[in-house]
Amino acid sequence: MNMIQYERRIAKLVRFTFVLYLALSLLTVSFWLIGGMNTIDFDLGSPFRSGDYAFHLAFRFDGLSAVFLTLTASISNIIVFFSRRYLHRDPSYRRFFIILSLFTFGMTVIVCAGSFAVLFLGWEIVGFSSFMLISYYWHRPQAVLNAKRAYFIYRLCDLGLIAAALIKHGHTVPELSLQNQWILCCAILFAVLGKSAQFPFSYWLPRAMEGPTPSSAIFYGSLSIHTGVFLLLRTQDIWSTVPGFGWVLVGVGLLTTLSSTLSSRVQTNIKGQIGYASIAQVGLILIELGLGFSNLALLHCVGNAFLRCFQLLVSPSILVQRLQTHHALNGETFKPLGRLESYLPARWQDTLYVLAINDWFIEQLFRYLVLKPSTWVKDPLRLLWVLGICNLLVIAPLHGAQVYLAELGISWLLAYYTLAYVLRCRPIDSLGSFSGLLGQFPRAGNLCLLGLLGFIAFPVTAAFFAEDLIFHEALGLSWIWVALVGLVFVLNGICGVSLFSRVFLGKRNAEIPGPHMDFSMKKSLLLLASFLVVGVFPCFMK
Amino acid sequence: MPHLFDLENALEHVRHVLPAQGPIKDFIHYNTLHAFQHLEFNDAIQAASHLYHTNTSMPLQFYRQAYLDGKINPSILRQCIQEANWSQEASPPETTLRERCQVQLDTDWDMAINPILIRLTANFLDQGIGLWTIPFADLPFFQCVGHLAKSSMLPIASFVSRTSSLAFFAREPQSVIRDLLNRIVGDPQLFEQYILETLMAHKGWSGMVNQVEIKPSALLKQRHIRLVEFLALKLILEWEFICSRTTHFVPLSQCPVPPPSLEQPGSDAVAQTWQRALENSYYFEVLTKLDHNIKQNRIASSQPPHIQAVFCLDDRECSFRRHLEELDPGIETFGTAGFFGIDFYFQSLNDAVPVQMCPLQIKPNRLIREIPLASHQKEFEQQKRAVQKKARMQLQLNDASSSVFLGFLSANILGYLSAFKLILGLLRPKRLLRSLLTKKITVPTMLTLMADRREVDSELQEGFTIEEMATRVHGVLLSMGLVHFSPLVVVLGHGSSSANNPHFAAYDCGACSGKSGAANARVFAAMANIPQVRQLVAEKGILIPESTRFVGGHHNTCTSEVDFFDTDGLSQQQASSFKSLIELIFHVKGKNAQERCRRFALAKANISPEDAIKEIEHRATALFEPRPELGHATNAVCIVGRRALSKSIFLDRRAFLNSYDPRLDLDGEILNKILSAVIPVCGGINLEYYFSRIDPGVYGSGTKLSHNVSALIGVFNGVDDDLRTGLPIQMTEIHDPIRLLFVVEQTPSVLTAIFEHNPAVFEWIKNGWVKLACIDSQASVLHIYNPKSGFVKFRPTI
Repeated sequence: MNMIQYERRIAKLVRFTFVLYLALSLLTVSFWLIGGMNTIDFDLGSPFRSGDYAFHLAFRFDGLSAVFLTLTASISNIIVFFSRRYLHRDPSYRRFFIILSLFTFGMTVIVCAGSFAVLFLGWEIVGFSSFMLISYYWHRPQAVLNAKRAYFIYRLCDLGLIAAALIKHGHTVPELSLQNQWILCCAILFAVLGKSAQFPFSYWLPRAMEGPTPSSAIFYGSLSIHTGVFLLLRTQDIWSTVPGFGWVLVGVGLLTTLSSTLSSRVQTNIKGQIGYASIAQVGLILIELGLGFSNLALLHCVGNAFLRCFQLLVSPSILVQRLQTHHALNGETFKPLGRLESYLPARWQDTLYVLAINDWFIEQLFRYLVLKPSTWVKDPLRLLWVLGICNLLVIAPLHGAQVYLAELGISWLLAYYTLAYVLRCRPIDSLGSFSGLLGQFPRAGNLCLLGLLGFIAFPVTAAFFAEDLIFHEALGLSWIWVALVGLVFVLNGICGVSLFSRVFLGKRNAEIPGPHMDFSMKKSLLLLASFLVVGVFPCFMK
Repeated sequence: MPHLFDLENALEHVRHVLPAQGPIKDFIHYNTLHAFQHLEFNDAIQAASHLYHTNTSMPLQFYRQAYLDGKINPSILRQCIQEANWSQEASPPETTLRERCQVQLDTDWDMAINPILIRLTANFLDQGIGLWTIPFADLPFFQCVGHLAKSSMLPIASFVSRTSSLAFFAREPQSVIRDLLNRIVGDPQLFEQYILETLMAHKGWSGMVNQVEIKPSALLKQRHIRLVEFLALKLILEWEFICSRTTHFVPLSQCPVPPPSLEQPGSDAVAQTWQRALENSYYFEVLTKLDHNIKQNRIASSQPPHIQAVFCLDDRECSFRRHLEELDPGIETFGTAGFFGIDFYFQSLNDAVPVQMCPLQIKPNRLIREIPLASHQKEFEQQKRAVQKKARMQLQLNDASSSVFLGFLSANILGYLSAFKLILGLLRPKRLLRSLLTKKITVPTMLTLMADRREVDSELQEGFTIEEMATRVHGVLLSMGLVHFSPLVVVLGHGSSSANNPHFAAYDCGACSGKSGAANARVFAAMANIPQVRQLVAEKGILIPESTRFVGGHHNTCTSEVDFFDTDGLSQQQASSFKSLIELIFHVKGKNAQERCRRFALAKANISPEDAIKEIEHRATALFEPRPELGHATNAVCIVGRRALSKSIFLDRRAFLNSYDPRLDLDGEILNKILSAVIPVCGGINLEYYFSRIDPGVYGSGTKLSHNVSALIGVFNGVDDDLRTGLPIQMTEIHDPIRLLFVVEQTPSVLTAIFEHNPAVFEWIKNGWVKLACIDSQASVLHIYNPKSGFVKFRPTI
């Protein structure tokens, strides 16, 4: 019973860490409460500095952090408690908890962040762990596709956060021109739309319910979806001074609430219904924020997080529950009161129904608008070449980009050679379909992932810290250059993840669980650590 | 020569290979490859593998591990290697018609078409999850979608053109299909192949539509859907998609055939040899023990029992019976199919509609209702009102949480409440479960058993006449060989309770169509207690003494709890026996729980009976436990004969035990009836586990952890994927795929005669879907049946 001891060891370790995490969080919060509930700011200095640019490891702890830290700590503990037994005998038991820990770490960073740069660190970690959990059953093409879908939107909307950091850098809000203030606010809102699945980016969230039930509960029911609200609350002193921006929030919130409520009503699967219902409530929270009821929004946010977490965890019970109610009420159907749509003419109602089951046709609309580079270049290695050259062209002219490019270069080489090795052993036709080679090449797959992660400037390498700098420098040149760097940034992310999923994930008919299906995580973590050391080192040298 | 295409005929062929699983609330075990049952077992696996793209056996490392674990006997392995046919070669998979289309369109069109098709179908079939019922739901499916498309100002999918699709919807589905097949495929000879591929692209939903068409009563809310309508909609969507992608579409029969994929499948001869060795090793072990047993002549009967207990033949009752017998040798146990020969519809106090309580093959025409005792009518109405109130509130709350204004309130109020519920659910699972589900009505009840109150209830006759009861009671008693009675005879049906589990019906009694067999036990006992029935039974040759009392009961195989019905009015002797039985059951429960815990990897190794009971009760109530029990996992043998044959053997909960006394059945008439019921039921269970184990992704429903309940009729992954049929990994992972070995206590000549008259049952044996051995206890010899050479004497040495 080797597996059991192994599982037990992991479970014990995870439980210990999470209980410790909960205890420390509560301790922090209670000290803060006793200490007079003041806003605490601390700056761990700037490990990275170039010219007038400095990356500040700044943290902030206030009432908002206290609430969200308690929420994160308690829900993650509930999920860990739930999953210890729920995931028993799952071939990727360890991977689940690693991703869960990664996610919780990301959430904690977000919650305690004192600057956009630090917040972005957590933001990226949450986004990528989300991708990993949606594609948790990575042999299912549908799951991988949905994971990609979610990650693409995350990546796109990350631009908002970068732009916000760029504009805000070193300034206080009143110093900015009104136009810049508006751009700043809209950038923040753009980041929120993706992360919290607000209109028009709602469609990815219900489809992200591909992982084990507890992972859906923590991500799409309770925590991940509310990070957008957190961002808005955190930046309240920025946007609340901009006249009229509150009404934009109200507008977006209203659109989301209406569209998602209708979508939720036409969903005939329980997880989709809960997902859309959760989005609709976040829309309401946005309205509350826009109208200035921030305390109500906070209360609403926490309540919604617990409610959806609970609903998702008990969602498999729906069958028994509904059968019982059906029998108890003798088939009598429930007549709800005052449906808004019921006041419309029948044709309008039917049109709304068609719109709602098609998720408002938004995804199809994006298909026409958003780039699909993987359809232009079908050969994986050529795609990498194209990406590399794009990066070089756009970034090399920037002052102080050497470190960033060096990091990118190392990662690119790692990705390129592992991929070339895999493709020499097993040639694949095109990127049009899933090849699922991870089962055959687990080690190469992990290395390639690591390389790609470095390449998309995920915080495994110091490139991440330099990312801000690059944008900063680009801003020195012109706005067009910023847009180009932004484009490359999004392309890197989308292509990197797409490449990895198409080559390594999503093979049909391979649902036999076995140890070879696991990412070999211990080794990856070791590598990741060494990578971090190697990556961070040059930063401090500077 | 023009090839006339017969759509009905083609659909009939396709129906045959679609999964036969109906709505998940009545999960019924059946042979996953029932469509191939006319073929020899190994040929069938190969043929099915071509059609469904599945594995034909476990991966080699499984067998190597089994060898290391001692499950495979080296000398049997050697023998199998010598006998193996090494020349067979697997043929490479051919490219399908749909793949040709995919090449032509240069996109994975399933990913574009299936989501909207599945949403429309699921929303149409929805039984109570969706909060906005699809418009025109009362119309047949095709018309419903047609009306929706017409009424809506927007097309039903992004790639659909409104005008051209409306033209299709205005026609009959059959003519639409013919027309579109002509346009997409071209050559009528390929039509059937294309229909097959099209429907197999989402076989779960196609199968469900087919099942609903065949048996509309399986749904709670009536819907009119036919496979031909479903196919027509699918083809319309496909054609519209093609039109949206290209203007120069070449029909598939005329487009070039792409080269087959380079992947050459490995030959399965190695895995098949291992598989045979695994099976034979187990058969050899069991048969050797049985052989030894009959040679020692251990079958001699002991002193007359003071309690007799009748169980379902279920493999999960195997250990319960053994412990009962071990703790009190004065108890004799019997096993028979768990519906106890009573075929009827039953409507309990908690049911709105009657449910079938016998195997699916039987079509009952009798109804029995549970009604509250007149003295408790008031209490019943009170409880009923309370239950209805709670049910309405549940629906209201659920609706509220998905609406705007009430959703605001529920997030702010219920949200904080659910934080406590979550913690409660982790620490005290039982409490949470109670709050999640509606309370059941519990008042003393009686059954509407007798037919003298004749009233017509939708073609069903309520109640049985005395003659009907006597025939059924006599038949069951005789088939079990229960002809001498102790003062107390308990009859135990079984069911299983679990939490957070959409597959709950798969754990219930297979012989009661995935329901708990409690009602059957209660009805049987009640019938057998009626003096007039006993009189008629006595006339048929079985004398039930007046001092004998039957008591029905229910065994929960998950929590091991046993409840009894109608225990009033026992005589003093019966009461004392009953009391001792209750005490005994308490001990048996502990021992049985201990034995079951050996299989739960998370239970402690040397668990005490008390802790074992706690463990299994926890499993039945915890929300986070995907394995409330292990169901029929590890089942491998079915013994049809006297209990004495197997009493001294440790069968490790792997055996179905059906009681049968060959001395009462010289011509094999009773055995014929038993085998006709037992082989399909037990064989079906065994093969469903077998196939779900060798390919959990296609034959089985994959891992349960990510399942999402759709439309209350099935589970799938994500929000618009194919329905998943078969058993989840969590039920099958410890199962070793071994075909069921039937050991029948009867002579080869009688069996041969039975098979001559019963080709349907013989098909299972002849084609190797189940294995057969027989024991001639008179002559103390054991024969095994070999499809090639007939009955061969078993030699306990290799």
